[in-house]
Amino acid sequence: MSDDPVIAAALSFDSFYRDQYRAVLGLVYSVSGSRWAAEDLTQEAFLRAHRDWARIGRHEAPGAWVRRVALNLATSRFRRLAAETRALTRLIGLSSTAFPTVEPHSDDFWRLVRALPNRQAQVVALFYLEDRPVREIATVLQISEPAVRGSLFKARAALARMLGVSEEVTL
Amino acid sequence: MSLDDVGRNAAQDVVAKADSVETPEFATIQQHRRVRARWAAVTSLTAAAVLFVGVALFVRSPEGTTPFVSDSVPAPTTITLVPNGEDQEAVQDEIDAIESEIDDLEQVQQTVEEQIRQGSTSVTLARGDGNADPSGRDPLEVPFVFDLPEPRGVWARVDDPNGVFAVETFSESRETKDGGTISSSSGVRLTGVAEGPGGLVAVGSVTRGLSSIGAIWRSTDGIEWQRMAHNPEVFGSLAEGTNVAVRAVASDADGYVAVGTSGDSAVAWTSLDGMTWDVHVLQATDGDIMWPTGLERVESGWIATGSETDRTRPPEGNQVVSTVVHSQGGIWWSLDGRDWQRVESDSLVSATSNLHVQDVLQTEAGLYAVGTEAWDPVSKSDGAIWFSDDGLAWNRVEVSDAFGPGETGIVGIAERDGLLVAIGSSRNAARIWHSTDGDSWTVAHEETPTGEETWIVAQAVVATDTGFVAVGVSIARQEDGSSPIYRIVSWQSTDGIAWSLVESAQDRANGFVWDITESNNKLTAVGDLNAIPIEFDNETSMQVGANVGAVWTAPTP
Repeated sequence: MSDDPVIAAALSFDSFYRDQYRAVLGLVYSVSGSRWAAEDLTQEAFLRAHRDWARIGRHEAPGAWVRRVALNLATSRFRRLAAETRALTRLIGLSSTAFPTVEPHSDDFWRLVRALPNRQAQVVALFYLEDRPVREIATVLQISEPAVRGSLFKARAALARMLGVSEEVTL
Repeated sequence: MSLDDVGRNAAQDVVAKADSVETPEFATIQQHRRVRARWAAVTSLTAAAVLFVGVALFVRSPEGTTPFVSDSVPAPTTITLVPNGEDQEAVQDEIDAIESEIDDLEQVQQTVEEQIRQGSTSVTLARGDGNADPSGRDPLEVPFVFDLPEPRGVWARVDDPNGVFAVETFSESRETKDGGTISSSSGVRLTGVAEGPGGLVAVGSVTRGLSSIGAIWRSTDGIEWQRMAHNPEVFGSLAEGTNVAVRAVASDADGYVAVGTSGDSAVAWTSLDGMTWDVHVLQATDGDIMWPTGLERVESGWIATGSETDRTRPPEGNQVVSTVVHSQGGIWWSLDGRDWQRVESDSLVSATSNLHVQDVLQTEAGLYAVGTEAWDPVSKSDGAIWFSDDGLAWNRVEVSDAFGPGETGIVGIAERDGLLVAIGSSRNAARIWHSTDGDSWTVAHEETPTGEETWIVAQAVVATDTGFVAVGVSIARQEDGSSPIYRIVSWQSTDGIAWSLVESAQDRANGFVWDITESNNKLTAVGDLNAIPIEFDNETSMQVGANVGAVWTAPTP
């Protein structure tokens, strides 16, 4: 019976991981701005999903769960980094300057997104990068749909102003 | 140029960058993280000294012993301000940094609290630099005594003095440079329970890393349990990296049948006594994932329920990332539990939605199956019901809108005195429905999350001589996004129409329940308790993440 083909190795978490890894990486990259940090946080998020896979696989949308955890990890990581950076800037006698008006290049766009309040940055990343409707963004972040709409409205207004572009929707 | 044009271009750029990154092997990441966790643990030992003080705030010393730490609060941390004293931002930065450290310490403290909630009466921490014991005792052991509230209610978790539901020690433990060892992540999960000729049998799986094996436990009284001897040819081998899990078990007068998965194939097991088992193919994979999750004894034999998921990938270049998968409902029938056939029915296939059959019930009128029809992996789903005269020909029942709208699913069905009861969830609330004819359903009870709770789900239901009992789980979010807190909840009803939530001793158990059965005026529920994230065994060893299996009992109301 040991050669029974029924008993074979195959991994359902593995396919989830392979399917979703790059997408989550892209999401974290967009809100963190650092590829290395993004890889680190993405891996951490997937490890947590794996540790609790029996539950997450069944009771929550795993894709939404791993994104939420990754975004939350990015939040706590960068809160601390931001404080350290500000302290360092002060010590070496530099003053942080305001964001200059920028041409709408991709890097500049994400830099401005990262300058938004954290929740707004997350909503914008999910909205543009993952093309998700408000309802799904609410599911990922576990906040209400009106809260998503509010954050999105404020973020879009701020981004359009900073970028000097129109806010109108083109589809 | 509009904002959306800019946003979409920027999104494409990020997707291209992410695509250029190679997806690392998950096993490599795990190994890497384990080493990092080890070193993080060592360096956090200094922080552990501070933790003692924090712990002392909510711990009192046992009678007759000298408290190792006093209840006094440590001296406030000195904040050195910048010379000119005017830089408010700098002060704020210092405060931010300190708050951040406090956050970390609070997490460690929560870890210890969790261990204590799960039954530890003492926690041993390793000795190390900055962690010397001022009382000179060795090893450094701090007894904890808690003022825990009295259990309220009827459920009690079964003691596991011999560790039959606990994590096994795996030979894979590795040595670190400083002579310590790290055991890999592992756990036990119980997903099914049934009473049969050999007594109570619980089924589940033991996992280590990405490998898992099926496992069987047996008890005559529901209190003392034994793990049955493991046969790797029947239930898989961790050493060979199998991926086997037993999901559900049912019984009749002649013995037991269990179903589960091996890799992507569906498997059945049979046993006369619950001790020795044979394995049979339920349905071999043809590339799709076979996923049987339920099993019942019915008049015509045995019926397993679940789904079959195909591995459709998103189209090339699609940066919208939800994994596109498609599931059709699965119903399998067997006369003897050994030879199985898949039920072919149009009612189990939909081109536009995903179907999963969760449970099946034999009634005098025929067979009812319940499950979920989902249109979208994140949100849109309705409860679904099927009916069959013989278990082989199935039709969807057109049900009322009690099973919608959206985010609704049914996981269990039971019957007593002609009244059908279905349980499941709608949005984030647990829901119980009843019906007299199977066509027209009414919401009997809804349990809505309160406080920190984000979800309540009903998981399993059983009919007894005196009514119905359902068990479920409430899930409370933690602000930092780490694993949520799970609590077991239970509902009971004498008529299936009026339901009440049972406050229970399990309120504190950070666990998850999967199945319930009733025999000899006793309810038995099975599941697992949440992971202990990090455990310091002694000076140099640690174990990362482990679930333990759990059994709860209560007298039948």
